[in-house]
Amino acid sequence: MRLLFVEDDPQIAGAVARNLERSGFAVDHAGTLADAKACVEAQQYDVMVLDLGLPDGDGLDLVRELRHRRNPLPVLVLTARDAVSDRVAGLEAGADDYLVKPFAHEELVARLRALLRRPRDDLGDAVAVANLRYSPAAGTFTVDAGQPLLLPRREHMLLAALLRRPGRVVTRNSLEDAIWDFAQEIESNALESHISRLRRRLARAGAKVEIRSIRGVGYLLQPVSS
Amino acid sequence: MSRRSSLVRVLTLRFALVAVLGASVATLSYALLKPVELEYELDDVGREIAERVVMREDGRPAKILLEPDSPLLSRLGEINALHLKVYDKADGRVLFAFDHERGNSSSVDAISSWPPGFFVLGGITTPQHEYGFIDELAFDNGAVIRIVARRGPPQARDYLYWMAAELTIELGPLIATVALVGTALAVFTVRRGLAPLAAISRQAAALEPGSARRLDDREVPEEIQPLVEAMNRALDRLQDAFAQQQRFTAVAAHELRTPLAALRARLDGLPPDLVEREALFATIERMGRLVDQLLAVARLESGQLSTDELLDLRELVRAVIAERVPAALRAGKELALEAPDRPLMLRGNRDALERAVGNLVDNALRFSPPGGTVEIRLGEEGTLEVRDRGPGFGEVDPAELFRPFVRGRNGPPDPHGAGLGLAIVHDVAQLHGGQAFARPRPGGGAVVGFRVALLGEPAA
Repeated sequence: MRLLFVEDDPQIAGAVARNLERSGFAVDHAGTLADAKACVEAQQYDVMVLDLGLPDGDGLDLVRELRHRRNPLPVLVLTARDAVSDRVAGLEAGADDYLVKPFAHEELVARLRALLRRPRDDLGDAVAVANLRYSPAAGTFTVDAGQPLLLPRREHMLLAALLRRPGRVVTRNSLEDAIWDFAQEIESNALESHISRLRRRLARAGAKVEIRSIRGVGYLLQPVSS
Repeated sequence: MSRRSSLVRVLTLRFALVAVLGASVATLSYALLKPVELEYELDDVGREIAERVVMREDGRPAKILLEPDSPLLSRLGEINALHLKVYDKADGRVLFAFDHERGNSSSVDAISSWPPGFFVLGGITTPQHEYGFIDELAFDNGAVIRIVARRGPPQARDYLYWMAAELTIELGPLIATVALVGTALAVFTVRRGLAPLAAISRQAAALEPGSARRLDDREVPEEIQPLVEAMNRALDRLQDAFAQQQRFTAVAAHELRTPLAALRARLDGLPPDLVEREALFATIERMGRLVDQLLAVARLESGQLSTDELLDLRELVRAVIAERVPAALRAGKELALEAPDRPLMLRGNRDALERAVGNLVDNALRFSPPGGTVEIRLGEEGTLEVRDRGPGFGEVDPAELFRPFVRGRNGPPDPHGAGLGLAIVHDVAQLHGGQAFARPRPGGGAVVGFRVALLGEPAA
């Protein structure tokens, strides 16, 4: 995995680059926006880790330029600014994820792996939690790599939405947005009944995942504990 | 109720006072310089007598009807040395006679044939002047009565009567007109004169904090200009301070976090079996949180946050909780939200509100025993309550908790907090037109939350 690390602070740059190399990345380091541009043009990278405050400009300009040229290079933004509006600005500029300094190395690696795995345009790699696997290309779920698990349309969309963010809460609003049209009138417990049917089907198919409900907030898919 | 003093009111009152005083002084000096005029009272008396004339059948006056206790009689008695006779002009019959000394009525006879008028008589019976008054009053039926009177020199009461008559009949309307017109002019002039002050106040009221706009001093009078200039200079300094504060918080965030990130990265590079590693991680995390909270307080207190984003509080709270669920579940704790079936819209600052809600939820999670559930309740009226089953507040007054650097919760000393979390909640609630609150939870634990003003319903 070839990684471009754009960071102007030499202390951070040295330590983080070493840690990333130990975790199996081939790291190129750029200390300025200009260096970073040169690297991107000269070399094909799998992922970029980008600090926003650079001596010769704002890192987000680089992201915008990449996206403008339809370069899909996954970008993880490192920021020392905590404000939500800064994070939103980063994502709007075309960054794929962000991490606020200081951060744990495991967190950085986990986010990078997720980015590298992330299906592009929903046609990329399969995602899996425990023995449940989803292939966006085929649009099928399988348990233990066996027969496709056939689900009604809405439950299929629900499970896909949950599986895209395993271990994280998907809020009620985004689930409702995912499975209903705007115009449709949604009964207040419709989501609950779809979820409980989905749970029964997953249990019958022997999937070792559970859908936890976080009351009032949303749902979370995770491997069965114990 | 005390009223603020008003320049318009004060100046108007003073102008009106000057007008009234001026007119009064003019009148008084006029009265004092002019010789006393006695015909007013004699005129009045004559008219009153004429009203009491009784006519005979043939249309000729018969007599003057005067009761013995009539106020007119006592009034006649008050006039100094009055002799008065009323005749029928046609035949010279005497209809009525009054003498201040009974029986001595012949004194008017000397002038009874004079033409009507008011005369000053030389000392005829006394060394002092006397005054003569002759008047003829015609009735509708053609009858005419003649009133002939003479009287002694004026006394104090005559002056008073005369002045009162002058005032009401001739000068009163003049004074009233002068006072009214004077007051109206005063109001108009004062208003017009102070108009530039009102205009500059409107300009000042429209200024936003940190704005580069200044008061326009081209149109203001020279008396006000120094004030406007002084205000503009104060605004300049304020804007500098504002910009400096904004730069400071932005740079401080970056500068404080960068060495922490470097430290953390270096520790990550050390062998995993190092004994102190986890403790050092925790310390760095705590430092990072402290930096966050300090910067949040700085931003809140410098007033640089705008509150014009249109937000759904329910969605915002859901997102904050969702973010914290995975870590909570790993710690064996649960989060639950109870919210109305509709969005709760407000205008506010997303960063600030997310931080406030996050602080409340983080606190409750920290104090919750393992296996416990933190219950979050959102009310229709914009109230957020976060309930835990932690150790509660003990002896501490819950209101104290919202002051910076006060740590009030019972239980083991909290290795994470800096005592800023709830102070931030307090400031954020105020920024959104509401307030924070804390109370013990029945059955143990705490309820901490805030209320904000939703669109369409002001917070109480």
